[in-house]
Amino acid sequence: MARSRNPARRRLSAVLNREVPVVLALGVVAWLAPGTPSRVAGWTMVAVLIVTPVGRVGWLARRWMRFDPRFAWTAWGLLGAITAATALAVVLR
Amino acid sequence: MSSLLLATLSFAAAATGALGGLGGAVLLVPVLVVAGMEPVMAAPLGLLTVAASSLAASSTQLDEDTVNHRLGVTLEIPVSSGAALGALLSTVVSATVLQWVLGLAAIGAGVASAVRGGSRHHASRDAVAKPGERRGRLAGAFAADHGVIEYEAHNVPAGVTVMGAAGLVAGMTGTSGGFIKTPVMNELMRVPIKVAAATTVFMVGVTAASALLVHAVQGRIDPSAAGAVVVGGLVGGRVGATVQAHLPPVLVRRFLGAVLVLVGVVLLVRR
Repeated sequence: MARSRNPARRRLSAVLNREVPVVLALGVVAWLAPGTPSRVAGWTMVAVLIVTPVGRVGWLARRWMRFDPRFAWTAWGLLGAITAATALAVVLR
Repeated sequence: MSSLLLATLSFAAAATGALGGLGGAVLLVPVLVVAGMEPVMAAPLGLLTVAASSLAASSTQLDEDTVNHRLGVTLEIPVSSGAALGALLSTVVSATVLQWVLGLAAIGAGVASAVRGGSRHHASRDAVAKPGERRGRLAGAFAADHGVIEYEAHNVPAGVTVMGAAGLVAGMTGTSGGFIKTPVMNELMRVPIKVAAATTVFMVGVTAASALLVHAVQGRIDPSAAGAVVVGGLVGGRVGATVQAHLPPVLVRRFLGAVLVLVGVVLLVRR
């Protein structure tokens, strides 16, 4: 497979690639282990699956602040929308 | 529903979905509902398989320079807002309404899958362009077999509007909405299909995360069931992607489209 010429993309790709077996292992423990280990592994897996894409948007926002502020603010806006929706969910719980 | 059955259904849905390039959730959630699960409980399980599949496919698309983050982030604002709103609405609308929305979504995905064309694009070739995104613009270039193809997104306001509806459907039903996003980017915004598909994979991960946050806060995620569907989804997606290379893609998409339409009709007519 061709590797991107952009070093930042290559680093991000490596991090995401390493997360896949971690999520798989956490899923197996959550599914097959009893009681507390299952709950801990399950919630950790859910947290990884939520934090990874949101963190990727945050990483893009920080990176773009240096050379593409218009899209950096778009990314911050997206993070703001996600935060607002979560806050609303907490209020309406 | 036993966790072994959940894992098996998730495996089968992800493998079949990967064969047709649709992802597993659009098949898994309707099947879970037909099997007796409440739509509001099936939605977060579908979203978990979406998030896991997006993670599994991301590194390949980053390596190929096909994902356009600027386009994804711009379109994702209405999608994530719609997804979170859909997840909130799913608690107040009746199970029958959710089942109808899910049935219509499955039929829509089935039709889109059956009629979708091949790997066409509207871009011009430029041998000197560098692959990657263009700063300050919703544009970029990617390497194809015969040189580097440049592209630029068109009809952005219309695309943003339709994406909000895609997010609402995704949040309510637990499907990724990818069956709406890729055609909208390709047909309406004239983005090459390869870039549209890769950007959709990035976007569905963010959509799933924002809707999952709402489902998690409202206590609708069972960690053990989550583990079973994610394991089934990741393994099934890999198996499906491997088998896909040996099957005729148009035939597979039409078969999958027919299955989705059938599942959608069952959801619409059952009480």
